Amino acid sequence: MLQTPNALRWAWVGLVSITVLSLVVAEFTGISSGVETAVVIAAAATKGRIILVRYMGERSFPVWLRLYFGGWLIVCASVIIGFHFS
Amino acid sequence: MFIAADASLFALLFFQFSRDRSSQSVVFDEGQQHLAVLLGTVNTLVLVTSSWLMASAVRSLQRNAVPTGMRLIAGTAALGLVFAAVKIIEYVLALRSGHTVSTSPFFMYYFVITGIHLVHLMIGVVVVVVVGWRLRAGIRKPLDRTVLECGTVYWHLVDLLWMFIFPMLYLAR
Repeated sequence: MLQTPNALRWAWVGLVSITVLSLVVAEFTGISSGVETAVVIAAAATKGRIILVRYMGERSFPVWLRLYFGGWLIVCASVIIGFHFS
Repeated sequence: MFIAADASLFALLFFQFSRDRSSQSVVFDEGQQHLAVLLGTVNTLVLVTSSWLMASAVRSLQRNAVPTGMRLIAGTAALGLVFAAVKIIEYVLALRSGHTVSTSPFFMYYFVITGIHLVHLMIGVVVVVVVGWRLRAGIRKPLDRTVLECGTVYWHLVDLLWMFIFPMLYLAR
């Protein structure tokens, strides 16, 4: 499914904004490392979702591949955050 | 199937890195302090911009705006090379500071994970160039559309993987 130029542009704005916010949270806020990790990894998963939906055209994937990548994002984020708190 | 297998390989690397990090957090935190966060951020911005260009190129080619599509594909490949150049600068800085694969577990993972990703990226640049070359006259056969879709998905996968590599190696403490 083709995305409109505006949708592609806003996806880029979102990706850049989340990247900058992650950097600010990690480098300048001084919050606890656990919260910081959870925030930057959740931000990474959000960016991954934007890339999948807006740029990769996930909605045109076969169902198994959509489920796979949906699960992949959740598993990667959970593993990184989970081990951090273990 | 290929991109799913590739993503699984990286998921295993993330798992192993996170597991070792949780048992050696002091070593990993110390190693992370030597990374150039600014260069990692620049590379993230370069990669998301390249994904935007590639997605825009697909839209242009599917609407038969071939010259625009070619320019966008060239921009995508150029940003891929920028990413690689910045990554090599990072490697040089790390090596000059005495950090190698054998310095610490953190740097072993740093070089292995980013190195495998860099290889994927360089393959992606070649794929993008080949897609551009093949479609220089536009989409004329069903196979052209398949080539474009496969090349595009591969490029976005490289971006998707970096979305986790960057915060995991550079930001999360």
